[in-house]
Amino acid sequence: MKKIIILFVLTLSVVLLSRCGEDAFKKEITPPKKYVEPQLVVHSYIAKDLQIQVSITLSKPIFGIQKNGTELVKNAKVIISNATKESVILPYNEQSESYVMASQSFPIVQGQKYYLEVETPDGKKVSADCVVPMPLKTKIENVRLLKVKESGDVGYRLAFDFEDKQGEQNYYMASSKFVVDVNSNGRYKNFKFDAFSDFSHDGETIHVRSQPIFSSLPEIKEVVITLYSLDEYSYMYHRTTAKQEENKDLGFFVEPVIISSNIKNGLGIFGAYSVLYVVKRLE
Amino acid sequence: MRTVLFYQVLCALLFFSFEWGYAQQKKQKYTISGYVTEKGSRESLVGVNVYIPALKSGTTSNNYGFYSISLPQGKYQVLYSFVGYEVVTKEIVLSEDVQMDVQIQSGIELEEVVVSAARTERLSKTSQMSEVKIPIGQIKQVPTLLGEKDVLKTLQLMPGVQSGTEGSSGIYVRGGGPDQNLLILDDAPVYNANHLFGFFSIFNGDALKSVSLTKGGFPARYGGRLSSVLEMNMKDGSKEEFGGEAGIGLIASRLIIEAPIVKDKASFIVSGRRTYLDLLMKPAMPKDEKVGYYFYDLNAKVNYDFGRKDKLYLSGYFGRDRFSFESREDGFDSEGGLFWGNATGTLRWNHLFSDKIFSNTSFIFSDYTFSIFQKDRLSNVDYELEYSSGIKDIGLKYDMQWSLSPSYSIRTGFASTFHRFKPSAIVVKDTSVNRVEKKVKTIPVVESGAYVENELKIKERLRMNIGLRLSHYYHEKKSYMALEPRFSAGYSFGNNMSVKASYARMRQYVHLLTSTGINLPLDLWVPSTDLVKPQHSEQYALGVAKDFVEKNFSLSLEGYYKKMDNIVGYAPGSNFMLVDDDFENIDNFSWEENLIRGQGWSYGIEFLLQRKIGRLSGWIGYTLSWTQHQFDEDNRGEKYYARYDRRHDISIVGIYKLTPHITLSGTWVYGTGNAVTLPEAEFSAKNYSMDRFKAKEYGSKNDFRMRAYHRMDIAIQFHKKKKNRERTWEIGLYNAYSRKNPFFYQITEKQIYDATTGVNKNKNILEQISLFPIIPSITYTLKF
Repeated sequence: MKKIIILFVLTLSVVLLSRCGEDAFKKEITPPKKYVEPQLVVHSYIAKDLQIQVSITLSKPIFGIQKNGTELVKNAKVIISNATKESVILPYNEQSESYVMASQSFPIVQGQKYYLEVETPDGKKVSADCVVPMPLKTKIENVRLLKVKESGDVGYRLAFDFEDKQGEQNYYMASSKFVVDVNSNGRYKNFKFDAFSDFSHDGETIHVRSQPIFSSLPEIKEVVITLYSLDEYSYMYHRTTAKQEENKDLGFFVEPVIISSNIKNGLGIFGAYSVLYVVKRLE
Repeated sequence: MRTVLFYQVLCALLFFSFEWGYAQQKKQKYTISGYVTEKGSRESLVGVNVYIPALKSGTTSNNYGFYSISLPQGKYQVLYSFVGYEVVTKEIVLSEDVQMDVQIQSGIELEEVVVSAARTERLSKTSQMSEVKIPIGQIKQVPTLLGEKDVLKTLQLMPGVQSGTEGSSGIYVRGGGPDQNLLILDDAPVYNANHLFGFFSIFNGDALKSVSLTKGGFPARYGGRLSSVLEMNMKDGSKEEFGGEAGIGLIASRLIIEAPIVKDKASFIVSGRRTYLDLLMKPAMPKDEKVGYYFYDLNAKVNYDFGRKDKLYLSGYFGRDRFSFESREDGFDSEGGLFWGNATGTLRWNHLFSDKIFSNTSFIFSDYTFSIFQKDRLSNVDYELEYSSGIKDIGLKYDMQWSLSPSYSIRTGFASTFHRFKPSAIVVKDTSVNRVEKKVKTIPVVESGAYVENELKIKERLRMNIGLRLSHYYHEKKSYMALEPRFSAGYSFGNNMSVKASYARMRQYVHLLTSTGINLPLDLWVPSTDLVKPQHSEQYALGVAKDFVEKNFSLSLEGYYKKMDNIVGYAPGSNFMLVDDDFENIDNFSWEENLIRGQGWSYGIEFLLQRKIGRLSGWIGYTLSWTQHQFDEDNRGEKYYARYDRRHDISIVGIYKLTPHITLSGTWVYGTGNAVTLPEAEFSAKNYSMDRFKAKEYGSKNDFRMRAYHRMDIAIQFHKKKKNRERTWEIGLYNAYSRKNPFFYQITEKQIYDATTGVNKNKNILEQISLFPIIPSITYTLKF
């Protein structure tokens, strides 16, 4: 008799526990009543000798009926100014779906501070500022391919080294293009890099490694490496957006990542960078 | 200026207490001292109240059952009382130092009237505040998930102690994080107290003799953590006869054996527990794909009594969790798993320098390891990878207690611990490229502390504990040193009521990086370095305590304010699981770079009405609290409510002895919902490469509250005494009214039909996921 009771309770418990993933344990909850008005989302990265481009869109409330696509803002007044109060209004360009100004019309100077103001006819107003980093004076060396393995799969990383400038907090990003076949003029393979800083490596040699690509690589002739020196806002924006994207499938196992932004009363980024291009032949 | 003044006042107080204590000592002449043990097993008893009614004065036995009290010449009645035990009265004519070892009988079989007459330790008669003591007997009667008794889960029912997620054994004390609790088992620190992702703790109470949790007003002998000290002492083992206990539950079984090695001199105790879900599920799994999980605990202790002056104890704990998988498919074999566990060991030597001076020296070892193992085999090519992290401690601790008079005692001592942190160690073996690689990175540090505590009693009304701790920390790049003043005082009004106040400054040199709300073993212990400063806190508390002696009730009301600095956390989005794409390159992961530092505030009021003995025992606890954090690099630098900030927290625990053979028990808990972060909007984000992806805008961190949590657990125990044994059946219900409590929230897309357009549209909805419905359990325990 006792054995039967034990067996019964045991079976019941196992059955009940296994129901955890079923609908009986899900319940729809009324989301916060807080009304979320669409906010202006600004994206603009400025650099020396680069066309100024500002893209403006609207955010969408998360709950409720979902609209497809991104809502572009085409009728905003977009002003960029510098520390000496020189300013320029950027016109909207349909082709690039953004507000554009040629670099010659309003030159961007390294080490200078720039201001962005955006105003829409319905009264939305956002602003931001950033400082363009000084030129990168370093050498990219020891460019190499690293073979990596994960769960039995073989992959590759691109790695290189460079010297960090001592005595200041620096933020970096990198990108690369592999010229696989010089004659084909356009067959590239891109390696992606995360944004990084010189935290705890001030003035030291920084070893940079790309994210891995798990596929066979054809014979590589050349590699074009771009090293970016970022302002702090851009670094934080890049880092938090990338982390949010990486974490999206981990659900409740991780805390949500709140995206950093320097746009007052809005979302997005008004960032700046300086670049160093290097073309290297791989042995 | 303020700091200088503060230390001037502290030094004056210390000087005054020394002077006053010395003057008291000169008045006294003789000492009564000895050990208090349990009758039948000679188990030393911790916290026994030794009381002299004629002087309205007394003391309590220490962690080794030793007590000492110095009195003027005369004839005295001495009462020895302890919760759940018979009161022993001794008549003593004091004309010389007296050694009085006392054995007291467990009062389980005694009628309530006898037990209630006991003069148990009164809250209103001590200066210590913010302390929780739960008798082990009560812990064994409180209903729990699947009938697995758990010290930490019982402590969660106390005011000021918050639980984590549903079913978790994690504790959050007065707004502190999980790393801010110092868990000590026989003097050895335990770094991860969780089994099965936190659903069970490693402390099931079987091998424990005493449990005490200090939430504030920390005496100077404790250091190294900001928020709490949970001190647990293992049983010594019966010195008189062989005995034991066996228990069978739904997911685990346990066994304790204790026996004398040399009668009245030496004894041992061994206890073990193992889960068997893996064994039960094995037959149901496919042959080529197997998943298994189990955990086990092993406690052992031996002791030897060399006589009155010297006693030796050797104790240890060893526990492991093993999650493993195995698959075989078309020539590709793969196996791996996650393993984690603690091992602790303590060698303790008690020495009596005189009847007034007791000392203990402990050699301590503690090791926490977490590892991931993976082995693949394809066409005779082997690939193996092993990652491990952990922390290993070797320490020496010395404590001395000098009881100069009933009104004055001094405690002093030091501790030094050599920590060896291993944030990562990798071993890779790859026969395809003929590679065997081993990378081990360890960080050695030394943490030390010395303290002095003065406990004094002035005219039976005012009790004070004034102490100072000096802590020091050595890291190869940076050393830190700090003075940690401690003060607590209680003023008694004579009607079993007292007002208490305390202040404690704490330092913490080791940190836990945790990225989730649940207790995963992936959390990483890291040391303070030149870049990571120690955490520190200041806590103020003020309270009232009242004993209702006739009814055996005690009531306390406490308010506290705690400020924490340099608290640490992972940088937004960083977590161990995303260290890198593969563990092989984990050595590149700089945990210092992925760590952020901030500050925290916690304040609140706690109410506790407790009855430890009697036919109906239990407690009612209520906490009203606020906990906020601020990190420059998170939530745009703004303050936010911590995930486990809980405005209201209620717990009601009742244990009722219906008949000598039947015990009913029940708990009901209520808590404000956890603070969580929900997205408000979505937008298209662009990075430097102008790649677009959907980003979420979260507004402020943790600004949404989950639904309130409440749950009732009930159990009934049937006891039956047979010749030399006692058996207990327990039938319990966890979540008796099957409340769907929130475990986490998720956003899901739902298709709805739009009648106006005649097409289906996508709608985002918020969904609550619950974990445990009503869960029955049955356990069988045999005590022999």
